[in-house]
Amino acid sequence: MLNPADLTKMLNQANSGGIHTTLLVNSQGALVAFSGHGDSAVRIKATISSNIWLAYENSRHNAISDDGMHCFLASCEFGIIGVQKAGSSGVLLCMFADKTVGLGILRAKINTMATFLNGPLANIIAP
Amino acid sequence: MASMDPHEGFAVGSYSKPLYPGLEDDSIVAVSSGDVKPRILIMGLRRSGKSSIQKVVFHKMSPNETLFLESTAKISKDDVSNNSFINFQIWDIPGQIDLFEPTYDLGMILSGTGALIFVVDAQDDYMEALTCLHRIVSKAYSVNPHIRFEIFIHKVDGLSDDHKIETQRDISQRANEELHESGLNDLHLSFYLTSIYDHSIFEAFSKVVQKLIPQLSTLENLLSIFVQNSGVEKTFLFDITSKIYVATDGSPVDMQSYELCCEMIDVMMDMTCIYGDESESTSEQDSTCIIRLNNSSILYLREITRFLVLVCILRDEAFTKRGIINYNILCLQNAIHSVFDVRRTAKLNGQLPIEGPSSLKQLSTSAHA
Repeated sequence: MLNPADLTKMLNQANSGGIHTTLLVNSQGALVAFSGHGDSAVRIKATISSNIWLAYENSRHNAISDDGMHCFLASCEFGIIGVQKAGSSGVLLCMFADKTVGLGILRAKINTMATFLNGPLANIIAP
Repeated sequence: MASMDPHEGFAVGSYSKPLYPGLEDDSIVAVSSGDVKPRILIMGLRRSGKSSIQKVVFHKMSPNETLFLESTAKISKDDVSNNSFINFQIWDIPGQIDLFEPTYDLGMILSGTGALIFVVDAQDDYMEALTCLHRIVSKAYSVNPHIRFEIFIHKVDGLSDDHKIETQRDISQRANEELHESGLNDLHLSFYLTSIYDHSIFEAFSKVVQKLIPQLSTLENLLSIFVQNSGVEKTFLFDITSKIYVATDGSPVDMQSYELCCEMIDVMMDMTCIYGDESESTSEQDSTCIIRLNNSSILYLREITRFLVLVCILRDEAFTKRGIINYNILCLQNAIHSVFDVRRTAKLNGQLPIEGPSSLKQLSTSAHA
């Protein structure tokens, strides 16, 4: 069983050094879990992240090799985003960071978090 | 629509198209500059059902109770603007009052009138009503040619379908012929078959009100864009208190879906009355209501402003993308707010801004697959 309170605490551990929001979103764009501060538009962020992921996922056969998307990083006007798949059920882990954060450290953090979450999230069955 | 790819029909809305076709219209200036609210006059012979219509549509009276309504003796003015989006005054003018007596200031009454509804009792002999209609319409047209004339062929619940169509054809033919004979060719009459025992009266009133909303074309445009990008089948923008739909998307309106949406609003309002927190009910802006039907369609209701709700009808499959739909509704909500802000700023400055608000341009972010 997943304990939502623990899940939030877990996600919160990544929120340091410029990373301000960490969230889990399912493949339908609905928010699963969230940790961050001072942010009201988190549902919208979740939806957009999931939609971008799906867009790449659908067209990866043409552009990327066939073994699936591992992670994507996007550098936007006001900050950077990292998205990676966590668990086997299609749940995505998203991190939002300030512009000052290096892409490398974001990638390392998101990778560590996703590896850790793979275990507990394997319990969730894909819809 | 049937063979829609699950990901293809969805795109995060882009509202970069020109959105203000209504702004060239002179009527918006007329509406926004005057302090007087536009009027809707309801006229007709005695006992034709004028007060009943008004009570059922704007005061939630049950249709059966209207049997006990007394004849209205004097002109009753009804301000529906304080708890509703519709910013109009409804004047119920009893049949026995002759507006053309010199005691009434006809110019004053008609100059602020947006629409004149004439109620014809279809179960009665309507010859007298037609004579009266002709007299009123031609007089009103000579005073204010901008009035829209709407004819409600009322109490059709007792008639068979064939009879209804026959009556409508007969009445419209006779009325138009008479106008033609008196040389009023530019005058256009619209006819509606109505009854207070079903939703036809709400639908007819919706259409009357829509004609008086200068932003209608913009709203319809916005809703059409929303429908295209969200995989939604049909959407209505409702005024909560009166259940009149202010706008809908471009696809034709099906009476059944309109009724479904009306019933849904009723359910939601009843639930809110029983379980809602009264202190918060005025400020709450985030009501949501979802009803799944057993024919695999879903009714989805979202609050847009205090007075307006958006009701969508969509298939089960499309609803798996609820996140995107929510996001698109948010874009739509911002756009609708901007549309009405234009009017508000115009009121404050006494003029209309030429450009639309820049906030709409920010919505062109696209995450299209």
